[in-house]
Amino acid sequence: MKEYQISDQLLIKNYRKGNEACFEMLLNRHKSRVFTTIYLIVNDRYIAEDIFQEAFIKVIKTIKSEKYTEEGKFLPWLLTIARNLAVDYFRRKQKMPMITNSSGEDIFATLPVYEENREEKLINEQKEGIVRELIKLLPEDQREVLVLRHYGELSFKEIADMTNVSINTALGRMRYAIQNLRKLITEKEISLR
Amino acid sequence: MISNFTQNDLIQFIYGEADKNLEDEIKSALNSDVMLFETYCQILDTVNSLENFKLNPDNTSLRIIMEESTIIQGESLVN
Repeated sequence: MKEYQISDQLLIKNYRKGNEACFEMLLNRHKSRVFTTIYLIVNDRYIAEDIFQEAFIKVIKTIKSEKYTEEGKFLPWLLTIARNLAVDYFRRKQKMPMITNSSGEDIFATLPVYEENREEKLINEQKEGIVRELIKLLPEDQREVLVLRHYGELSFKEIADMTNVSINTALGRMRYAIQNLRKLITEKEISLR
Repeated sequence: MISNFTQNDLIQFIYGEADKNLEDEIKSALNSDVMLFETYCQILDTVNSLENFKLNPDNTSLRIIMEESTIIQGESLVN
């Protein structure tokens, strides 16, 4: 049996008419892609949850205030909102002064938070954890294109539009990201098979 | 045979974004150009290593968003 998928456009149309279930479908349809993208930019599960909520609340407000005009391009629009919020956070964080201990380490990174350590331990036991760690090591512009293309599933054209660069620049960043990942995998002798 | 495809072309090809002509040309060249095939395999190998893992937000986030959706609707009805 072929499954019929209601378009995002139709769900938004009915949501505007007050059908909350339609928004829930949109949320469930796109939650993983959006959350994975945010997480891989900010590298923090709790911050990612906050930004995820903020992005969808922004979406709700825009749709309900009748300001939504991106008919047929809901996901790129949603990912643009999420990406901008994540990048804003990331840049703010980089400007924040780091509080170090006597060894020069960031004290917040070394605080013994039980839940986080346990989670980190579990993550690091899996290949996914290794891949995430490698992605974190990429320069910001390369990581962004890789995350938006591979996990956000946006086209290179959509990424180029979103980040205000040419499609060749977006492709070039992806190329460097792949080359750097390959180098890291080789250097660290990581087996991901 | 040495072909003139760039790594950008190969990346577009791997992600299914090459136009039909480019796609056909690359497919054909991969059969005859050993260097191109090697580069293609390297890129593909790295892309495959990324895996398609997906993370999901916590249910609390989903609940908060759905509650917010109802509240925002309530406000607009009052106004």
